[in-house]
Amino acid sequence: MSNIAPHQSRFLQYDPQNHIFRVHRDAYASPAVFAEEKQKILYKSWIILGHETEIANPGDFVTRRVIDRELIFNRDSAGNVNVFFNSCMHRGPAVCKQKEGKANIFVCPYHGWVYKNDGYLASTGSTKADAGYPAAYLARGEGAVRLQRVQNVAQRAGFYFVNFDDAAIPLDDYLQGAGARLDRMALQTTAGFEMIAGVHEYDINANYKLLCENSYDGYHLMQTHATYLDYVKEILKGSNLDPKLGGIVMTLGNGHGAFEIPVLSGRPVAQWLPHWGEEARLLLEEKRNEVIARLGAELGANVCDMNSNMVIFPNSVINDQQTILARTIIPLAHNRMRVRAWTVAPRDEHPKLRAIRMENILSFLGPGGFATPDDVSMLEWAQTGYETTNVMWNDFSKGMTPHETPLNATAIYDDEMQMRAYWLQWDKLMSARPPS
Amino acid sequence: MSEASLRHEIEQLLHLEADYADDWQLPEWLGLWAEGEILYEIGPLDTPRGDRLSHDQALYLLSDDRFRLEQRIIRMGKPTAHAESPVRSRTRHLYTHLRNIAAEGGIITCKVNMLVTRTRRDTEGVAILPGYVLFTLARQNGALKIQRKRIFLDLWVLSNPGTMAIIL
Repeated sequence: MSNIAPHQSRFLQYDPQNHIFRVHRDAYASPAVFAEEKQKILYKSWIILGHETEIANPGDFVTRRVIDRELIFNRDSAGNVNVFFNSCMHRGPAVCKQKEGKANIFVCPYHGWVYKNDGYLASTGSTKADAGYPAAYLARGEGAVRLQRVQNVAQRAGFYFVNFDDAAIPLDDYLQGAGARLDRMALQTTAGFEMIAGVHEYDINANYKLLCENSYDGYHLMQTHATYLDYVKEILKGSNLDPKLGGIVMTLGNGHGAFEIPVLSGRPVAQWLPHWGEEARLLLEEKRNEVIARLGAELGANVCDMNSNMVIFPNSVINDQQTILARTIIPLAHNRMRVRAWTVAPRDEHPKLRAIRMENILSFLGPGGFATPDDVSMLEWAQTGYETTNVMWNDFSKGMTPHETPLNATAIYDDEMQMRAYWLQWDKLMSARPPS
Repeated sequence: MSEASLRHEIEQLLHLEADYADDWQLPEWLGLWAEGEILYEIGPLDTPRGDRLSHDQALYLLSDDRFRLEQRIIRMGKPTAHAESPVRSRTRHLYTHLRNIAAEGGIITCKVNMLVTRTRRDTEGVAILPGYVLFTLARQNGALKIQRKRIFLDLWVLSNPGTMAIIL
């Protein structure tokens, strides 16, 4: 991809020569902009939906909201994966009210229309009722009634994505370098992954893009998370471990980006902390040796020693740190989001390491952790600043150079290049004129 | 000890615990916990299996052993614990329907319903956190102390605010 020329748009001041990169706060705080970006970005992008392990067996289903669409994500009796809009083709109610389960059929509670788990209509309630409809409705051929499917459903490394634009480019083309980052996470085990029960679901009174920025911002750690760093010092007391902030940020194409930084607080694949004890040390050494024997010294060490948080444009966050944690962000309004955080772990993980994983997650991540509450405060206070003052622009110029190409590049961990790449993509899509 | 006096003693402990939490008397609150291994947990919100899954099987909201609970209390007391600083939430802990009291070998278990209200200066309205608590209490040096406090909320989503930066 070629460089993006310096320009000024409704939302962006982009002037590398003069070290200026500013984003207009309407991008976060305007209901009209939010409505516009739904049409131009959110309904046209690949958005994370879930994980293959959630629908491992025929009949398995989950119901889930993506952006503002209610969906059924299932594996039908023939083994095919489907994503249906959760609405009866007759008069509209959801045909599935459960969050998850196993079902051969979905039944609308209103008039009793029955759908097989491949979406085809099997009955309208009774033989007598069926007689009142065209025969083709139930015949599985042309004119058959079927739950409306999302056409574009695809997976990469076990992570499923949907795109509500029927003309969307293929997922792998969309992901560009982010795809390889997902593949890298899958290298943690050869046994595959399993979904851990329970979801952290919480609301934040801020624009969804603020959480994206926060998720791969290596620069706020010292300030926002001072108390967490105190905690890390405490758990490392008496050991010779002295983790340093460091690493890189990277841009991955199409607005995606990530940071990759040295592990600060241990991980089950595979870095030990003294207070986990001797048994854990041996297990982690064994795990580390397995990964390095399989992947080689360089890649193996990268998989074991580096945390990586990634934002897949525009709103999917996948963190590879104390665990593999996906944050599906549901933008509820221009100034409110719902976060749905879930985690997968190697299926063959030793119970001791699994226990460590779970404890480690809770010490940092999640609404009750030692870090996330402070992030949430910062995001909400930022949003308040946009809505209650006349200040117009946010600054993203840190580390910018005159000839920077923020596409498939890397920079030091506390640079803001990954966010510039995000905003250049966002601005490009928002500036596109609809075909007349 | 009669059941009535044991019940009274538990209620006194719960009232004191609620007051310390609501008054942000953090070290005093921590002082109500037993010596030895302890567990302070808030269970997963979204799973109907609730308290049947332990914290290493499901994603709890929090699960603190002694070290982490002590660290949590230290953290909460710092001005850089931004979510509750500089102005702290005002909370009110209500316990009711104390039941299932069982005593065996100096260990007492019970179940109690809980309602916590929480108001923040920068947020409109009152957040209500309903749930139940499974307590395990231990008699140490003649006094009842908290050994385990496992909280299960009747919430699907944590909202307004979406974080748990207070003592529940």
